[in-house]
Amino acid sequence: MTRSEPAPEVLTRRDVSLRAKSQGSQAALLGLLTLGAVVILLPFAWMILTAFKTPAEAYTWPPVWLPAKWSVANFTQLFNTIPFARMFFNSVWTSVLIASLNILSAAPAAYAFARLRFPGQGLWFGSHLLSLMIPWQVTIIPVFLLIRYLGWYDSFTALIVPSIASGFTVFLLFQFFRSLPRSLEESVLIDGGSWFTALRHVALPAAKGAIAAAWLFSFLGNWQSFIWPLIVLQSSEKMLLPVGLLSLQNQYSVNIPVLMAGATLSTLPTVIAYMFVQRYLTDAAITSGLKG
Amino acid sequence: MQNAAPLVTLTARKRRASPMRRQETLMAALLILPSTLGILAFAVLPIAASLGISLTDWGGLSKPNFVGLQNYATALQDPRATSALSHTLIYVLLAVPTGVIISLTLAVWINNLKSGWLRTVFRTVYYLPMVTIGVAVALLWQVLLAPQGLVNLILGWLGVHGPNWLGSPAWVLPAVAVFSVWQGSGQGIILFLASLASVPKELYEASQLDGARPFETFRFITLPMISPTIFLVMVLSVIGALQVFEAVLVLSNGGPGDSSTTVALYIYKTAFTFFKMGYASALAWLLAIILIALMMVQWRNQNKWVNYDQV
Repeated sequence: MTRSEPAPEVLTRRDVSLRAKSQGSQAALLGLLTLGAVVILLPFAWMILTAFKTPAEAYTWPPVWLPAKWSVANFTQLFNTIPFARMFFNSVWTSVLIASLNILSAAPAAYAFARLRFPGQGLWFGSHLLSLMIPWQVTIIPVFLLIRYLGWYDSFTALIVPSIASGFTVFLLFQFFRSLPRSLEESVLIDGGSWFTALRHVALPAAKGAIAAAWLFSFLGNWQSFIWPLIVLQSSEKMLLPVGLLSLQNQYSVNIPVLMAGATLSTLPTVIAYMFVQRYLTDAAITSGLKG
Repeated sequence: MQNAAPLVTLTARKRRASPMRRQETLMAALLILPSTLGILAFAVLPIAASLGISLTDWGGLSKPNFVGLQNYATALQDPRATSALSHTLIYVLLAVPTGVIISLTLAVWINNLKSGWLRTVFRTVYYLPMVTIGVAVALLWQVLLAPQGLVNLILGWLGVHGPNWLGSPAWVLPAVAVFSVWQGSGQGIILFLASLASVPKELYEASQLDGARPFETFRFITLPMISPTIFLVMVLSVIGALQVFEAVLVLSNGGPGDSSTTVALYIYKTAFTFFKMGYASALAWLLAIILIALMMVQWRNQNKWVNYDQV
C-alpha cells in the first residue's frame, strides 16, 4: 500500500521567475480544489441549515440561507414521529457486533489461506472469492427464502447470522498476512512451536493495524447496509437507521426540515469519527479496490 | 537472513514431514471452519439454489413448478425488463465516464499540491460522502434537486433555467448520475492518489530535465504509468453502476412512470413487491451474465493500452 508522502521540493535551486510561476500554479490548484470541496461540503451545510428552518422558510423561493430563528423543533418532531433513538442504537450495536464477528471468523481463515498448505485450499478460498464476485441480486432471494423457512424473519438473527462470514474481510486480511515476512513465524515453528503459537504470538500482534482497518471498513459497511435490513426487518422497533430514514420519508406529517434533521443526526456521527480514523479507512478502501 | 529462513524450514520439514503436515491440515481445518461454513451456507449454496429457483414459477409460498428456461425467454420479451436495461445502460454511460474523469482530474490536482497537509485535507473532504448513510444523502439530494432547490438556484445564477430534475423522465437519470458522482468520486480519488504516489519520482525528474511541459509529462509519463488503475476504477465503476439500486429507490423510486427503473430495482420489485421469485432469479442471472461478460471484454481489451510493468 502506498502512502503519499510530501514530494521533495524540486525547484529550490531554479531561478526566481520559475519559482513565481510554480507558486502561481499552486494557487490555481488550490483555487480549483477549493471549488471542488465547496461542491462536496455545500450540500452538507444546506442539510444542517435546513434542519433548523421552519417549513415556511424551507419552501420559499428564492431560498433563504439562514433560519431566522435557530430552533430544535424539527429534532423534537423527528423523535416524536419515528423511534429515532432506538433505530440509532440498533444500527450501532448490530454494526459493532457484525464487524467483530467478521474479524473473529475472517482473521483465522485469512491466516490459514495465506500461510498453511492443506487439501482443498484452492476450493475453499475460491468460494470466498466467489461470494465477493457474485452480485447480491442472485443470492438475496434464496437467502431470504432460507431465513423465512428457518422462522428468522423480522429478527436480528436474520440480520446477523448471514453476515458473520465475510469473503471481503477474509480477502483484506489475506492480502495482509501474505505480505508479512515469514521469517518470524518460521523461527517459532523451528523452535518446536505450533502453527497456533505462531498465529497467536506472531501474526496476530503484527496484524493489529490491518485488523483495525478491516473492522472499521466492515463496521461502515454494516452501518450503511440498506437492502438486506429492508427485506428481513419489518417492525419499527427493530429498524436500522437507513430503513428508518426511508420510512420517515413516507410519513405524511413529515416535512423537509424534519427529514433534514434526521439526515443530519444520522450523518454527523460517522463523518466526525471518520476525521479521526480516515487513514485506516482509506487504506482499507485502497486495498479492497486494488484486489483486481 | 531472510533468504536463509526458507532453506532451514525445508530441511526441518523434510525431517518430520508427516506429523507436521497432519498438524498443519488439522490446524487449517479449524481456522477456516467458521468462515467457510458461513460462506457455504449464505453464498455458495444460495448461488446453486438461485439457478434452481430461476427454472421454476415459484412465488415463494405455493409449491414451485418446474418451467425450464421459460423465465429467461419471458425476460427477453418483457418490455419492462428491456426498458430497465436501457435505463441502466444510459445511467452507466452518464455516470461512469463523468465519475472517472472527475476523480482522475481531482486526484492529479491533489497530487500536484506541494503541501502535505493540504493533500490530506482535500483527500479527506472528497472521501466524506462515502462515509455517510446512502439513504440520508439521497434524501438530502432530493431536497437539493427539487424544482425550487439549491441546484436550480445556483443554475439560475448562471442564467440557466433548471428542470424539474426528479419529476421529468428526461432529467431523472442525469440527476441520479450527478448524485452518484458527488457521492462516489472519493473512491476513485483515493485509488488514483495511491497509484500516482507509486510513480517513480526519477521519471518526473528526467522529464523535467528534458524540458517537458506539464501536459506532456502528464500525457507521456503519468497517464501510461497509472493506466492499470484507470482501468481498474472503470471496471469497478461499471460494475457498481450496473447494480445501481439505493439511489434510484430513494431519489425517484424508479419514476416518474418507469423512467428511472433500473435492472436492480426491477429485480427487487419483481421479487419483493410482486413475489415472483422464479422470474426475479432469472432476471438476476441475466444481470450477472452481463456483469461477467463485461468484465471479460474489458479484461481482454486492457492489454492494448494498459501498462503493467510497475504494478
